[in-house]
Amino acid sequence: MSSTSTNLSNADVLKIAKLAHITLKDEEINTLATELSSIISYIGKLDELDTSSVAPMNQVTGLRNVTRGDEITPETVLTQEEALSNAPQKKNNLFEVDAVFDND
Amino acid sequence: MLYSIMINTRDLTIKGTLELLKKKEISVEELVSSCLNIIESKNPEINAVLTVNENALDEAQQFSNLTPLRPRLREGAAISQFNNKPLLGIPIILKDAYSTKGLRTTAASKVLENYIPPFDATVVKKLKEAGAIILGKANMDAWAHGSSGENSDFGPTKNPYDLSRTPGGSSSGSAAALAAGMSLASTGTDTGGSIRLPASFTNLVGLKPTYGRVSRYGIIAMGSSFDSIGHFTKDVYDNALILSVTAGHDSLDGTTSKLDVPKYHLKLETSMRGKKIGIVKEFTHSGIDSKVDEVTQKTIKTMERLGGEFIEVSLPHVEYAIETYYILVPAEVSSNLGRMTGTRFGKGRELFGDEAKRRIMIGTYTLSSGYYDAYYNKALKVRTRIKQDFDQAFEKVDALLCPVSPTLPFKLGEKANDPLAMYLSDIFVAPMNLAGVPALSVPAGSVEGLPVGIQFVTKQFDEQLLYQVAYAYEQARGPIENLKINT
Repeated sequence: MSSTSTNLSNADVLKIAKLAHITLKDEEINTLATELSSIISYIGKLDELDTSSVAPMNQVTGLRNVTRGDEITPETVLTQEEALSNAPQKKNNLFEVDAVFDND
Repeated sequence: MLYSIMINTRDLTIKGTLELLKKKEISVEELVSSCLNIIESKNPEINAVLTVNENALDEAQQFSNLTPLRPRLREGAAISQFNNKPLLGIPIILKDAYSTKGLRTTAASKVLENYIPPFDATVVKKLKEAGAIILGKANMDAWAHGSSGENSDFGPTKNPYDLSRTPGGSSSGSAAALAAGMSLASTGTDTGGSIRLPASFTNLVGLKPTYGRVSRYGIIAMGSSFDSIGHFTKDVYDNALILSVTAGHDSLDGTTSKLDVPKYHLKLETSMRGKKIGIVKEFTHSGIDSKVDEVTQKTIKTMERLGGEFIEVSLPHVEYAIETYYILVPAEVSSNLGRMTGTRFGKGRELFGDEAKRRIMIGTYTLSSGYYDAYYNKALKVRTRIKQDFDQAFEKVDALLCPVSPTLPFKLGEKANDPLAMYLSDIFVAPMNLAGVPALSVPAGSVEGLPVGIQFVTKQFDEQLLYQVAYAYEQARGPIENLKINT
């Protein structure tokens, strides 16, 4: 990363969209290339800080290795009916999804 | 509506309402009915509420034996009910990011337009157990992405003090609903200022608690290492009372603290004499509206009169806060919203709005192979620096006093097409989320008929001192003039 500005091409935008499973309309691509370039250039300002001796912060209140017993808490377990209650497609009391692999 | 008595809920605090209920001067049904009437008449204009709980009036009837209609319950039994249920009969509106069993929860996104959660968030459960009546779900920026409410997929919320302006965001509907008298408290989420900014814009007290003080279980996630679960009230006492209910360890959220939860509202009075209050050097730069700054200066004078000693402190890395925030939060957003696949619940990803798409894509970019160290890991390191800045400041002072917003509540549309300008609305509020510290926005004055808030900040898990400082200020401040609800 450099602190010079980042210019994303339309191809870059389409690649990111593909990774993010976002479908874009044609007219969105140009706008997003401009907007994302300006935001990514902006956040690139962090590059000017020397952080070589700093540890990354992953937990802000200092908790470490929080564990719990491997026990079933009935009050937080959904019934099959509840778990399926919002499913757009279901079959045989299961979630139904589109096929992942083609047959050929 | 069932009851003809209309209670003026706009001027009622929770504390005052509980007194009226105990004295049986009003009933819970009348209270709930009055709020529902205001929702019905004012919501078409303000657009603060997305879903009304149709059972609210029925739920209010569980307390009908306490009320003038059926005065049979013995005095002692009634009082003990109030002791067991500190929010007995209090109407509350929840930000639509709070999962509510059987009540539609959308996060103001078309993706979740028909989603009906099969469970309650921990906080919702606690509020219900404390006797609160859930009236409905509040509008917000979709997925809590925004500072104005304009990113809602269901239309923007209007500021009740000036309908052409934003009530602030992302908890836009929660703030506007409470200010308009639709409830006596409301809840929000604060990932980078989403409670404090709207509180400041609508003359309310808004809490961002310490990260991990209140359970996130069942709250639709935005940035999981930032999300702080707080609330809006009309004054500091009410705010402290609600935190006494919502705070605490939850086995369903591993980041919640096991520290004891005091009854914050019972220990509000304390002397400010000798208390050291920090003014953040980096927040006094130009770019803040001079009239907003005048309100800050007036607040400093009030605190000095109470015996507070002001010291300038430096948070050298906060000038990188927005950059750090807009690396880490979109990264967490892209991960959290990855679960929205339209398979188990909700509709497809093609229904994400513009801001959600932007954030998901920024996060996807900064986390992608070859960029992780340059952006995400770099930002985690700067977060360490920002946290250290706060730690060092709190070695010198008990609390910080800062502005909330650099500007007055802005016009709807003013920043809607400039994502970066919108991000900079949070310049004085997002740093606290990076440091995990608690902060409270408190009404401080008005400029041109618009509310202006001030922000107090203390070290992690010192909400008690936060409330004490804010309470002392509130008592000394006096009423705020020249504010009128315009609806």
